[in-house]
Amino acid sequence: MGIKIERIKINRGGPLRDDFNLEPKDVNLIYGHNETGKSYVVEAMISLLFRTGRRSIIDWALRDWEFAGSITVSGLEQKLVKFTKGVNKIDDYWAQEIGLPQDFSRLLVVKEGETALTDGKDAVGRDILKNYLSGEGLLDKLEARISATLREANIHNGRIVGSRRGEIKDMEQLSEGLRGLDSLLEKAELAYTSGKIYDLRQKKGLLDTELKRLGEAKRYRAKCIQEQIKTLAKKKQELPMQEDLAKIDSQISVYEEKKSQADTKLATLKKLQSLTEDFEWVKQALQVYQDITGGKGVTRPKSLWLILTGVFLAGAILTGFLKLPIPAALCAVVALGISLYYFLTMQRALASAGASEELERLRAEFMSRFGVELTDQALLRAKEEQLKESSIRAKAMEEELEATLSPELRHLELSIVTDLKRFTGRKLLVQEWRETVNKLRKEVNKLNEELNTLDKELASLGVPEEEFPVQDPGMAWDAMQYKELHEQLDMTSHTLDEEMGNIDNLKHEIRGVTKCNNNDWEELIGALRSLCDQGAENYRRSTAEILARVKLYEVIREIRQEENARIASGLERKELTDSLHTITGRYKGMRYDEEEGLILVTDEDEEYLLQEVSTGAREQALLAMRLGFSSTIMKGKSAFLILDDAFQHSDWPRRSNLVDRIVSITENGWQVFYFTMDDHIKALFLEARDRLGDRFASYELC
Amino acid sequence: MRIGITADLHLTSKENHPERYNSLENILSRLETEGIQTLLIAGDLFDKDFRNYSEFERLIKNYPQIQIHVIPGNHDANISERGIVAPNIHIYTMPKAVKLGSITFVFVPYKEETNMGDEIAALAESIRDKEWVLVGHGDYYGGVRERNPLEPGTYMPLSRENVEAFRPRKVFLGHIHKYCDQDNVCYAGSPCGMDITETGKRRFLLYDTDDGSLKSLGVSADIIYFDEAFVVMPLEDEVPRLRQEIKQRIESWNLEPLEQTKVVVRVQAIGYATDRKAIFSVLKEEFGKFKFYSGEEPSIEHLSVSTDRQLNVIAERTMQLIDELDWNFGGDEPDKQAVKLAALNLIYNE
Repeated sequence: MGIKIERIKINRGGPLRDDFNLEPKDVNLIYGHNETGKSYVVEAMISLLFRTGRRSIIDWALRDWEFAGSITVSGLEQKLVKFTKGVNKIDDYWAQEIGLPQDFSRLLVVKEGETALTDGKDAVGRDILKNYLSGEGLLDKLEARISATLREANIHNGRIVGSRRGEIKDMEQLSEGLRGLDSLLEKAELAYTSGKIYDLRQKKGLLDTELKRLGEAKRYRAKCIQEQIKTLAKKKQELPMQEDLAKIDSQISVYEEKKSQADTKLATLKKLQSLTEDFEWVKQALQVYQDITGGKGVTRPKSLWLILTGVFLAGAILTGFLKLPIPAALCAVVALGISLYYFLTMQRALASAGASEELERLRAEFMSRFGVELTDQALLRAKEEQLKESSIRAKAMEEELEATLSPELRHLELSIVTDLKRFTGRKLLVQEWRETVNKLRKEVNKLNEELNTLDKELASLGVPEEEFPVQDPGMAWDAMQYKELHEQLDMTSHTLDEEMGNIDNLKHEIRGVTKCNNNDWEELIGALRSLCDQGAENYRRSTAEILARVKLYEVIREIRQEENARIASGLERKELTDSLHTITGRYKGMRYDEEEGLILVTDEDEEYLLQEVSTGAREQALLAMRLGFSSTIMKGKSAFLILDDAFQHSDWPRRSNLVDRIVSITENGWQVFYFTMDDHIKALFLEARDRLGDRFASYELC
Repeated sequence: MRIGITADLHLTSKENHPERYNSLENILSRLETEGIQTLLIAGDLFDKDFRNYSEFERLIKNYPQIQIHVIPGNHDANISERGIVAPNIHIYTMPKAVKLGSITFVFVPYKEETNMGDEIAALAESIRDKEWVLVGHGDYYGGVRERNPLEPGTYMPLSRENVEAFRPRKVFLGHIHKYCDQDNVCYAGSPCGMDITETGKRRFLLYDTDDGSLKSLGVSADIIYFDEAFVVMPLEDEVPRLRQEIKQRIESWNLEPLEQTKVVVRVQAIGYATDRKAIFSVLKEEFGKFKFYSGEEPSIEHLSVSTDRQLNVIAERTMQLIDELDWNFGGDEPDKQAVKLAALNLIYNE
């Protein structure tokens, strides 16, 4: 069932003097001269039926009239639909209910003789063709929503491939931004959880503790050193000073020198004393010599008496052994008598012979002492004179030694011995002096060195006495370890500061990015994560939009290719070519050229651009297309046409064809409202009335 | 030795949320049946500001042979053994290493403004040269994208670097209510959905300290939430298509017949339809055998109407191309549904 207008009621207004009421038939002729309200009725019908104004996709160019009335239409719904001034319009049915292009209304109305479908150069345009023959106009509308960048893009191996501009650039920037945020988040999460700061703080704490203990050990060491210094200082007090040792040293030297002098003198004295002894002997020898040289000589008993004693003694013994008592007694008496005689004789001989022996002894002694033989008393006297001087010198020298040198030496010795005893605790022998002094010097030097070392060490520790600890911290002071630990602490502190700095920088960066002014990690990470989530969402949305557009464009391209073929075949449709040929009587078909527009093809296969044919011919062709498109789009269904002076430019013979064509389409269910002021056209319709019977209605406006 | 592990029960009063107690009881009875005598609860045993533990005490006293080791979570950070009186409960309010079976378990209770790494570092001596398992409550910074939707922000995090540094044999965490397992870190998940955002069947874990194996066991919860969305295209067969999709979706839930009675759903249709009313009716009809969340009806708020056949054809063809698209959907990239919605909006919106 087609769409038909069942009733028209238009209230008078504008040039329309009376209300216009019509119960239309299939062909409806509305005739009226100028200023009788013909255009008013046409515009009222447009206004009541179709969407006008800003929401309309067709610019109807209506005059500023206020219309009132109603038009009742059948075929849209089960029941009749009445259109008034309200918002409900027949356009709404095209797309939603019937599946027609939204601007389908354009085909149904020729207003004020304007048969052109568009303002374009060929009065039709590709858009119309696409719309009515292919629906491709819709594709253009959709395509317009897709940027040139995405039209060139494609999806390959899970990637969007296209120029880095527009949406693709935006998407990549979002992706880069997201990567940046993710990286920042990762850094933040790592910084918060890695425990690096914690570890460093722990390490620093341990180093601090260790250093504190070592510091304690250092102070304890200082205390120990000071105690050592005190001990050594005390010891030092018991040792001679360097000056003391120097003095002792000097005294020893003096002593040694003086001792040497004394020894020399003593040696000389000894020699002189020896000469003095010679002098004394010579002096006594001279006396003896004088005495001897004044007495007599002495004779000794003969040795024979001794032999005889022996012989008789042996005889006594022998006879005794032979047990001859008388010879034995005789021999013994003889031996005794002889020995007695020898003894007495010897006694006398000796008493008389002493003086000469003494002299001999003198001579022997003289020879022994002086190496020359004593010849006479004069020699002795000379010798006495000679030795007398040495004796005097020896005496003098002895007196000198006793008087000066020996006391000095004794004094020096006493002083040295006393001094050394003070430092050694015992009385030293002279030969021990030097060694002892050297030993003491070494000892003093060593002590001084030790003290010096300790002083230096104490100074290097730099610990004031008031900081000396009471107790041993239980670890030895180790300057190297202290240094190493200090270096480690410095390094750890530096790293910690650096890390803290990095953390501060990172937090600053996150605050900048997130606009979160909190300094707390959890807040910052939370804010950053929200930003990441938002960034990820933006990226996903952007990517989804791109993918959707790329794929939609692919569909559009495919459909467009299909639709181009469909336009070509659409223009060859029988509904269109029949209509064209019937109305124009000359053109058998048409084709579309992208550059030139619509081209009409004659029976003789001559081609003419639609825009270049005569006004009448174009009017006919356009009307033919309008009817043809309508038939095509409606796919066998029918509707109504409002034609306001649609044939006015056609020549008279063609007008007849046009009216015939109009009448013929009503036989397929179409309904036509033809408005004219042209008497010839009116006559042509009235001629057709006989064929139409009660399917024809006319209305004359006055 | 086998040990049961769960977390995030968020117990409140039994009157308000009996299903949470029932989930715990289900776990305890399963452990009892299996002869397992240890259950670990990795935080948030109780909901925020809940202070009366008597119902919980009554429940666990029924299972005296099961020792329950609990760490406080961010919702119940104040719990202690002074507040909960039961012979079989052990609450670790300070980090502590405890030997369970052949393994040392390190319990790290939730603590504000700190991270798990620092707490573990403090126990470094206790775990040196030992095989140990971490039980904590917080976020894992190791690529787990799952977050607790109810709690934005960050909670006592554990990083992948911490895991690499301290080398636990396994990590069991609470806080994220959805089960997930990455690297060596495992979120047990809540054994009972808290609300419609926590969908699907719930579970608890069984960990064998001897061989390190981990087994997931379903919890027979009173409620199983599902939140489903369907992208509709305005096609002549939109209704049968939707019915088919709903059927497949319900099958994917993998529910036992008894479990179907526990389902609470939220459903919505998005996109474009020729007949919104029919779509609504289909949703209502197909999901009518389940209970709708909070008495809500199926939502068609984001479902528009389109009767433009040309647009519909274009939409259908575009959807087909999107289905065939060579793209790694999901994760950081948009999912297919989002691309389809973008295309539909592009096609139908002026």
